[in-house]
Amino acid sequence: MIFRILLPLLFLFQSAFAQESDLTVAGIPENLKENADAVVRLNKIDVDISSRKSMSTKQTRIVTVINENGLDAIDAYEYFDKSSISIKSIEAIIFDAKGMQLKKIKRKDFKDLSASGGAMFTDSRILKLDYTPTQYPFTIVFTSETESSNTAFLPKWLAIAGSNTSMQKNVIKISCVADLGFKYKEYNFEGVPIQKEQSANTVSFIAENIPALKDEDYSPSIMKVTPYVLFGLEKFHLEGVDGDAKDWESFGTWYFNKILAGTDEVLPETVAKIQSIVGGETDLEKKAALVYNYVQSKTRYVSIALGIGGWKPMAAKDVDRLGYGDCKALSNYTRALLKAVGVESYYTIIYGDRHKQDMQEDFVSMQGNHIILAVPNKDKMIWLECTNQAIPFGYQGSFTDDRLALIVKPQKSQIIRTGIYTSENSIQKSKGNYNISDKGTINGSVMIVSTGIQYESKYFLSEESKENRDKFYKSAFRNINNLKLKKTDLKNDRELKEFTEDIVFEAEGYCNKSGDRLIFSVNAFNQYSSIPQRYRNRKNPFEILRGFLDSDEIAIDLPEGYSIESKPDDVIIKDKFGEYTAKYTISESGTIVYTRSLLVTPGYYANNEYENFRQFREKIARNDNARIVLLKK
Amino acid sequence: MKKGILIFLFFLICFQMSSQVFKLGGVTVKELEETKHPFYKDADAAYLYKKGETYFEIIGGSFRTVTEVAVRLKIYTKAGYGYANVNIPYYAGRTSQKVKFSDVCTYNLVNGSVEKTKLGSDGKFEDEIVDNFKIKSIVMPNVKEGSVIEYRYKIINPFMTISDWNFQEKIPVNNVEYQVSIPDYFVYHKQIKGFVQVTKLSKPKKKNNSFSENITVYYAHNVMPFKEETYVDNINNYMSILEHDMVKAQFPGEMPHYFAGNWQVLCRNIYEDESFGGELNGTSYFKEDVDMLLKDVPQDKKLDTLFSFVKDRMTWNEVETEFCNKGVKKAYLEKTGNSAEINLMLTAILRYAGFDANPVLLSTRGNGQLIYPSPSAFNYVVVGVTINTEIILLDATSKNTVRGLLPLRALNWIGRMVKEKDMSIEVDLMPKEKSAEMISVAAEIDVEGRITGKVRNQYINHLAHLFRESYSESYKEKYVEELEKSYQGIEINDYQTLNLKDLSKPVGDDYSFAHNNIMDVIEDKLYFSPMLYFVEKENPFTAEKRQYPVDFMFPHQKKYLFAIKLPQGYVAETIPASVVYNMGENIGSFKYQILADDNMIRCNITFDINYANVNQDYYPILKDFYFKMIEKQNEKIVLKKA
Repeated sequence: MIFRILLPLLFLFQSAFAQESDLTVAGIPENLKENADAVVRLNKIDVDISSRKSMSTKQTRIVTVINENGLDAIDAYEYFDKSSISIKSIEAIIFDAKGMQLKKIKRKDFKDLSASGGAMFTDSRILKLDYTPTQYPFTIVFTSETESSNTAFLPKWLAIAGSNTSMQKNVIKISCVADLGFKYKEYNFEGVPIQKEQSANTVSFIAENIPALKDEDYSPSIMKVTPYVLFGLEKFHLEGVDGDAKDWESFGTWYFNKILAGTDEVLPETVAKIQSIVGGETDLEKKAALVYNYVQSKTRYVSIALGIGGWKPMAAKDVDRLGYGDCKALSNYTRALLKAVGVESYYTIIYGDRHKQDMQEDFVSMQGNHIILAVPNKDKMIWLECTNQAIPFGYQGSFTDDRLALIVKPQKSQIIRTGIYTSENSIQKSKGNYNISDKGTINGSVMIVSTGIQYESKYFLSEESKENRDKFYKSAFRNINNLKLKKTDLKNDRELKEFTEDIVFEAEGYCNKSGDRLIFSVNAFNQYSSIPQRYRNRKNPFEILRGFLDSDEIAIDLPEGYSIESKPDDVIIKDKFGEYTAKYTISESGTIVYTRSLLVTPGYYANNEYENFRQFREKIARNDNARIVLLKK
Repeated sequence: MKKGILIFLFFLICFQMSSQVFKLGGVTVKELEETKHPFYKDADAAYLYKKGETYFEIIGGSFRTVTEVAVRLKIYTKAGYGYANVNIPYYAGRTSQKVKFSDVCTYNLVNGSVEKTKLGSDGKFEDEIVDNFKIKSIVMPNVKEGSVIEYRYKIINPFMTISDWNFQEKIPVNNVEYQVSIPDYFVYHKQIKGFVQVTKLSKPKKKNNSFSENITVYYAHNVMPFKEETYVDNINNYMSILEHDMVKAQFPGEMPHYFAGNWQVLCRNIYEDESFGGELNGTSYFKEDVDMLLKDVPQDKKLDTLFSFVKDRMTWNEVETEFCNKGVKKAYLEKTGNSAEINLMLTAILRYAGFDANPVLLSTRGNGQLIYPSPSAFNYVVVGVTINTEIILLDATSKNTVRGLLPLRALNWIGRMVKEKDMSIEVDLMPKEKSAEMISVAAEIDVEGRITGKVRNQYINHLAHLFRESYSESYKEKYVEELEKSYQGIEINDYQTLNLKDLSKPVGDDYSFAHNNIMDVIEDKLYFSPMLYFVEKENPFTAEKRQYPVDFMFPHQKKYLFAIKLPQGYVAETIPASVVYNMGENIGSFKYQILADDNMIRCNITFDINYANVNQDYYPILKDFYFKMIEKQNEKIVLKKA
């Protein structure tokens, strides 16, 4: 009896798919096949928010995987945890190219994994599809249903699929009860046909037939170019706490009172200790630096995200006792110690990433993935990265520079931009000399001083193991084979944020031989040699995120018994992308003095400028590799 | 077993532990003051003491092993902070292991005196990484540069396996000691790998009411950290590790049970396992398909037909094992399986078709060299077909293998062919034929120094297999982009592969190119290497000394043919001399022949490595050879105006 009832139901279920979508590969429109390793046939998300504490999400994702490079597009997984998110159902069915069913994967056959990947401590988990494809192409129909009591994070809707993946149909529909202040905002919608439907409590977006895009180097971050929609609630719920996101001020106040409250208490002994460290110092910046250095010497970064710990910083007194914590804990601990010596500072929410990503100023919601600290000093902010034990006081680096961040205060929280590194302040100065022996060996010494954003690629070296330092120099001087480092004296001036390298080395076989000639690249120490990839048909605009300025002055001694047969000509290259000069002066004693400067300017450019940029870089690479030919007398 | 005895035993063991010289808690001011490691100054951290003990217990009538480890570790630099997070992974299935940390403390020097910080429960974590495997972690409190940390952990193991013990680590180990107490009933094979000098001491037998124990203590001092090197097959083959493998168990008045101890016994045990031997017998699941397939196929084509059939049908799920999991039948239906399911299925199918086919057990390169017949020695199985005394090896886990060619993971010296229950023989897994790569280039130079031309590559044996494994048609565009990236300044057109799918023919590719970054045009002369952009720049062997053998995986040859047409009005002023460099002991050679006439330069280059693996004693020869070869490759032709 049971079978008779079940079977027709199962049949119904399958034919419902068949009606809605054609699962055959033949049914994919031609324009979606180009450049596509996978085609998302349907990505359908239905979100229903029935109260401040209750959100259910249904997803149907149908993906045709054309070849093995397209496996990443399947995205068949869901997060869950003990406290707030549960998976009601999860299932995948695999079909062959003709749309015949191959296999059904039930919940129990999904892999249950820790969401940590072993890198941190968390109680968040993932149910993930575990499937070995037996043929290509194939189509997978993934369906899931989750329920969550957290409504602080609504899905973000990206209209297009990832690289080399086309999108046939992409639909999101969100319904929300009336009084929660449901809101949404579209970004980068210009020129992309997206349908929007809206009724009293529901909004939906539909994008269709978007061909696959290829990855291209120097592309701006997807948040700058691809269409997406943010959704949010003014009245939300997070891990047992009600929240308010009407405007940044009220959001910040809520954050301060509900998330941060009580976490900045420290023991009286700790207060006494930090006060004695600061002593009679009255200058705000110096006081803050003393506290920051103390935190750096006392703590280390360990990623811990348990329970509401995912959002709430670990109590400052626990950090004090244990000496470790994550970005929230360490920033908050620093805040507590600063408070103990009368210095005000603000917990700051930001996107930490080498690609600059702003907090969306015009959309008040839980955002960001990192916490830093802001210390107001007269009319400026000092930004403190508290997860790094080597970085100097007030140094930001590329992880948090030049982007909008939210500073959280009891009142008047606000969005501000973090500090910017200009090309002119990001300098690397090299001064040195080398000689060439008649066997073609190079013996050199060079002093390199780096500041600004260039300081970032160096300062950590003083904390690295010797093995990693050697690896670094092998790679930095990769144009010199058989490199033997004889001396690497490193000086990290944390006050000036200036890094000095004093390097002495030797390398056999630096010169190429040819009969009586020795041929070698003049610029031994600092070749800017990589040339951006050529694209026959560049689609994306491109961006140079940060600029810098290099200047080099190197004296070169030649071996006895050789004369210069030829040397490169002096060069000046000027372009909107930067400036390059190289000069070769021969002194009376026969020494060659090589002076070089390279300025790279940041900017955002249209796709049709890319080839010029590439040629600019190619010219620099060629000149940086310019050779001198010596001939035996 | 009486409870009293157990309690007595427990105290005995505790007493024993505490009677040793090294004790937790005795951290000295001197240890805390130290800022650099005494004999390895670049150390970020060091084990001052690492002491372990493994012993047996009887609980509920069955034996289990307990391992207790006590550590005192010094942290010198911030780069060493990682050692202050301790992770112990363990099995948490039905008969679960148990892990317990205790005595966890950090010591710091504060104003000349020792400050001790204990770890509370908030510094202990547990995480389930995948099903049945968990990790217990401690995150040490209050760690600074100069801190000394101490901890003890205990692993209770419901099985009678004894885990490997490392004498060597990535950081120096000043003192390491390990004691193993094994009841008389059991015999273990013990083996120490690696280059560290380990002292072994047998202690007098210990007797108690339930059993008497054989006690062995191992110790070593001032152990240098092990070094990662390039061209190493598996670093674990050379690290100093003590391994224990159970050979025999015999209880009073009972017959002995042999677990391994010799290859025949081990192979028999594996063969008798239902998920190995039992999977060779069924034919019903493939019978119909195979009968159909073999209709009208002549005898001499049957082997390849069946091999291709299994390769094409089955997709390997990347699990390396000698035992079936879901079984061959289900694997056949689902068209995916692990190495045992695929290759035992192939064995059964070949036997059904009348071939003398047998499974060949082996240890993959990742699993380490086969040294001793322990139950964990093998982790993979392929197929050996005997035709007129010749054994042909087959592995159907890769779509691109051909008969006689094993994928790289299986190229690990020797395997064992299991013919029947009590009959197994050693089989040489290493390739008999050289792998080769042939590169032919026809190029033309113009007066601006631009080079255009055509390249044709051909790959043989393992190099062919590797090419097919790494390349697929869907990857073509990306592949060309990668080529363009690695040879900066090149523009590649008309890229195509040859015989990618036809495994019976050598695979290859060809393309045309234009390169504007090879030639140095300096005044009115042109400088370039006749090897164009194929010159190697970097010597892979840069270290002064070598600790481990150099692993080339298989013997191989690279052959280049260059025909370069000179621009009108130019002649060669200088051309490099032809040379032959031979490495001693026939390890390898480099032959460089060059000829120039009025408007052509022809250069033939052959590079040979004749062994899969070269002993470290020959490292200086190898290093010098590479240096000379690379220097030669970079030598330039000079063209001048005629």
